[in-house]
Amino acid sequence: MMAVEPAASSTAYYYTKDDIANFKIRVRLRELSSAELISASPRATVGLLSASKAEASQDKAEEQALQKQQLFSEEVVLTWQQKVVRPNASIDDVASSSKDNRRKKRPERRVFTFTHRDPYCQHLLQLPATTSRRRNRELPHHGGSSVGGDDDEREAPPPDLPRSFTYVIMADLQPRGCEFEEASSVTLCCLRYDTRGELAVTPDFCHAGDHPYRIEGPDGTNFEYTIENASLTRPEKEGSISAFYRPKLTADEWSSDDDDEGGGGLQLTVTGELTRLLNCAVSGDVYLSYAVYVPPGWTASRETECEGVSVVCRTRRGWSGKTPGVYCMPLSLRFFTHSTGNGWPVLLVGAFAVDGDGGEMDVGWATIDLAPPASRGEVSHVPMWSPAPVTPSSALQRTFLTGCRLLPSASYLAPYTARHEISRVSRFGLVTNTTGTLEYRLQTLLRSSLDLPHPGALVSQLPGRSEATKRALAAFRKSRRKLHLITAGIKTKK
Amino acid sequence: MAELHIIGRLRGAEDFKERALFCKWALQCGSGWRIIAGQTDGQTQVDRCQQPLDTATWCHPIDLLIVCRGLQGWPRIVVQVYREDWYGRRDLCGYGVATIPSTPGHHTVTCHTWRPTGTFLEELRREFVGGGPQILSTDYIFSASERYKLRTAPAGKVILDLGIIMRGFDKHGVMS
Repeated sequence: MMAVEPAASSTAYYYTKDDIANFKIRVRLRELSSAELISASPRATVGLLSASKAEASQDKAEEQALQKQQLFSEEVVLTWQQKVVRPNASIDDVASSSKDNRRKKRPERRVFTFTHRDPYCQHLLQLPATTSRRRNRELPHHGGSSVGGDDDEREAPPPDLPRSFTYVIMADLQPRGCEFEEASSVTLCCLRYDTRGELAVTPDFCHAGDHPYRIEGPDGTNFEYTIENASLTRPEKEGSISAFYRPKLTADEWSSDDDDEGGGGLQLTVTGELTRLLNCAVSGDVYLSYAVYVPPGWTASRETECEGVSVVCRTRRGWSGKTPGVYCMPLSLRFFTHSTGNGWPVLLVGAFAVDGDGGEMDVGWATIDLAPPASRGEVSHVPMWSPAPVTPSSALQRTFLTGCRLLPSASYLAPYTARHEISRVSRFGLVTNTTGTLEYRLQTLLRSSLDLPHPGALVSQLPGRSEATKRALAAFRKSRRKLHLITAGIKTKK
Repeated sequence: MAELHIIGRLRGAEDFKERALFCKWALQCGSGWRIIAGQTDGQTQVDRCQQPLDTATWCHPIDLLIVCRGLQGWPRIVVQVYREDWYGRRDLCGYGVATIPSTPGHHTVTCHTWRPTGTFLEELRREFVGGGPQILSTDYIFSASERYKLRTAPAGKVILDLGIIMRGFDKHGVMS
């Protein structure tokens, strides 16, 4: 039995602060076919020269498939001091090291382990090979660790001295169907850990790009194996990453809350902020108040706050210009509907000023359509307006007494009234002042189980635009119906 | 699940009166979102911007992978800008929140900030001695709940360069 390549006698040392109980080792043992020992099978090469290429490649594939079916392969992930019983271990051996003594037949596996409590590892510790081993043997062991046994606790060393634990991974390479021989077992890896955090691995772990270790069985069969450190430094996150990149899982895991609440219709999600109030006509403390108008056929989700008030921000008007009011009012709105064409939710924003006595005065009003593609996250602006004082007395009253002038009807802002009637077409008689510009950054997301071709197509259903389109379509249908009637009349006459 | 990659940087700050600025940032998202990889919060270095420029440069990298099970609670970045004086004292300069863009591609996001204001004496003391009022809980920064009693003053703005990669949203009928 000999190691072919690379050298399996080198020892690598690692230092860790993690708990050794989290340590995992992945062992892959594979039987090599004769074709894998050389770069190309001579038989296949001869076949290529003599026979046709198709036949040769077919023969080669069949040969490889046949060999793969017969070749042994095993992969196992072991934790620190995990006992894996020798494939044909006696009942006494199994009972002494593991509670599972039901297996008596030889299973289809070859890898087994010796833990620190096994006599084999104790024998390794007693070998006077190195000074450290002698020191470990001579020093009494201290207790307190769950890895060691009762014998170790009796020989507990002083707390300032390290304590070693050995773990050996072995493989049984005897041919199939043969009786067990002690000489057919080979050590794949020997690990030694001491309580200072030092881990000695003989041979070293296989890293990416390294060749696997090769060993030869008693009957000349070649095996190769790899020893990898399979410990997860961030088990939860890495586990979730691997789970995430499984495409089947990604397709299935979507919250059912959305569908349950919305009933499987169209879902409109609006996120963003009301950022600033620019060029405000009033200098002082100004705040924003928003409300969402939800048209008929739409429902707001439970988490959506359809009304809100921003902070009171101080705006100044100095010689260098006007300082805008900064609000950064976050919005997160979600609506559902089962049919489009009833209009879209609208965000109504009002700005109010607060004087030193706590009196309030309206600054301006604005309306933001929440229909896609209203905004794609870019900063947008909407002008604000407020009703102008019509008479001199009202102007004086506004200057000296302040006070809020509420709009006579919400239909001036919302496209629909509370009775769900069409918005007012004419605003004749309403005199307004431009009182500032509202800066906002909103983005809309649509999730639909309805048959909607593209968000751009939804623009045609916006209120205002849809009226003209509907009229044009109705006129077109009317003329088409007339044409059909006329054509039918001509045919009947004939 | 659908995944959202946020790759970019916290470029810097502009229009702040103070010179030595640093920024604490954190990603805030809803319960249906899960952070897979990357740091969800951080703190930049203290940048002493040179006069006459009033721009602090941080170039703090941001690289996040988030997965979501629903659209509620779209992620936001919450920023807190502080100044550091020559004695090592740190005072608040501004709070801000910026929603992560929901369209793929490169975005330059400007986050305007505000700071709470106190009484006249507190403002005077802040101007000469330092200090100033701060909010007790950062939830107020990104919460849309009642903010009426909070009196604020505008501060500067924080610039973010964000690259957005979205994957799997279209499978769930999401059109952005």
